[in-house]
Amino acid sequence: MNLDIKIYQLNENLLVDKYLNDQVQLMLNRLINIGHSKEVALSVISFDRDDRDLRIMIAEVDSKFVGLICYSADDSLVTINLAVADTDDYKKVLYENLESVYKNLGCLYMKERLSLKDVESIEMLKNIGFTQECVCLFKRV
Amino acid sequence: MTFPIVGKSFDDTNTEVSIYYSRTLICSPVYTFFLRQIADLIDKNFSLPIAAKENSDGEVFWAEIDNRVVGILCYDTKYKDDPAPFLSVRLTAVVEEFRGRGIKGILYKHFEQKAKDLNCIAIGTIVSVHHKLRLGSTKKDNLVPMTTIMYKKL
Repeated sequence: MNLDIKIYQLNENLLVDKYLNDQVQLMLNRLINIGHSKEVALSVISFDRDDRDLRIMIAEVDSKFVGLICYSADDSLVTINLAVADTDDYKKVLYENLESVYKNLGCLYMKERLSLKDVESIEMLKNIGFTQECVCLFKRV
Repeated sequence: MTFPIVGKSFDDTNTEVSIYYSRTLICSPVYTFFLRQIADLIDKNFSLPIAAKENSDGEVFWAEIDNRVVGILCYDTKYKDDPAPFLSVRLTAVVEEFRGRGIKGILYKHFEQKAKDLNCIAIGTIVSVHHKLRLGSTKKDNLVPMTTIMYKKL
């Protein structure tokens, strides 16, 4: 697999930003298709675009983007906002790279919030060593 | 620094409960109470060791009876400007001898009003999947599970 992995900041590369925005929209559509309202879907993948710690890890094959992980990290925790890829293999490589980078930097945990309806993504994360620790519950006011 | 009483109610034993508010958990009179509760949750495996760091900011309501702290509700406001704005509970806790008297409900009433005042459409809370008792009680509170948080220890 001739895969290149690069890390960008938001607003560093227009093509990367556009790819991120496109993937966000695709994920929104996916969440709506699996049964969420638009407002809940927006909430599931919301992240602070003004967060200076926000990074985008991109996977490229033959100069074509094939996946990304959008995340932020501090000295102990990597928080994944969005992880998408053309195939599960590319997605796993992205997670492995992210883990490798931040384990070497001394981070203790990786964290990701997923819709409970997104069974496919939950299972994939379990297969690469994540565990479900919390449930987020909501009530309209 | 003084902290205002934002409300007074009576619990289920007809005892007067005073509700206080602080814009910051840190430096509030209940910060050590909060830390002890978090430590207890971690010891019982209802929270990861990273919980104190993840939850140390935010606002807090607390309940006092006869000048004694009997319950707290800590929450963060970072989602209040989201497309679907909500306030998220970080921790609720009631001192064991005061449980079953409606104090958590009184705290939640103030919290929900705060959410409405900030034009939020919902409140959220995070419960450990290992905390079966609390997960069971969320149905009674009309809380609906929507998302899950997954962790991997590096």
